Amino acid sequence: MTEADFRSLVRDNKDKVFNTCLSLVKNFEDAEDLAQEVFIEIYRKMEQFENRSSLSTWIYRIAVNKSLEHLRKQKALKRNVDYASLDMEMKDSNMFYHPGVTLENKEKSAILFRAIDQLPSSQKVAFTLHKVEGLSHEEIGKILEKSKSSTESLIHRAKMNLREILKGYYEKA
Amino acid sequence: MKKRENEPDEIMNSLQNLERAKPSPDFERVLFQKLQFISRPSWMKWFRYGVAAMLVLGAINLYTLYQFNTNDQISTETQLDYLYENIGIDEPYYLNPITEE
Repeated sequence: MTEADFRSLVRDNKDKVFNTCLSLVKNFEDAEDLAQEVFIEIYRKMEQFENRSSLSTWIYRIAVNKSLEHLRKQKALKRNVDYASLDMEMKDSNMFYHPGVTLENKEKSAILFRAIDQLPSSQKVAFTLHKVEGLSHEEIGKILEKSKSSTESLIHRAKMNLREILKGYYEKA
Repeated sequence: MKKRENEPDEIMNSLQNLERAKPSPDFERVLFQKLQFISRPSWMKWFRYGVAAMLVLGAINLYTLYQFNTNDQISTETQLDYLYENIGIDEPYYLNPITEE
């Protein structure tokens, strides 16, 4: 792959990689760093890419894996740090406002993103890719290396869980 | 926010017509800077192979020296003793100096 080819690959895919990372990690600086790491990995492993899946699926898979790895590290870090000192910071970081959301949906989407955070990883990824990136069940299945039917059931369970979480949220309010 | 019956469903649909977030304008420049930093020249690869080969040879040398020192071989002293006693070679005077009485 020439440098020009790689530059055009970055130009074509940077928005979707950044948007996927941002929707999962919910922090602009981290998402940008992660998106850059994704492209560095693509650059390093381009020769290993087998045409078993499409390039887009492969890129999404790397982005998702990098984001989940980052979340795991962050979780482990929080476990080791004094919770009280982070309390204020965490309250702020829980409210994530995606820049692409329309103004009237701003508050609702922030509540939804907070609820998504409480889902198990696989449900979180499947739901986010479906709602944020607008991917089909089939595409998500290829990214997560699952069948179409199990992806459908994953998203269905994610929706059920989110309804429960949101119901709980409104009962408290 | 007031509580309403259909609110959870509205929230669930709040991500409809979402536009993709865009990275900062510096994104590509920073990415290529990082790539330049991490990609080493090709001679670096051969240099690393050279260092690895030297380490392997060094390890083999150390192992050989260790084996040589711990081996139960007949020491030079024992060999000389054997020669003095059985073959009749005279012990050099300096090993058994004549003392004046």
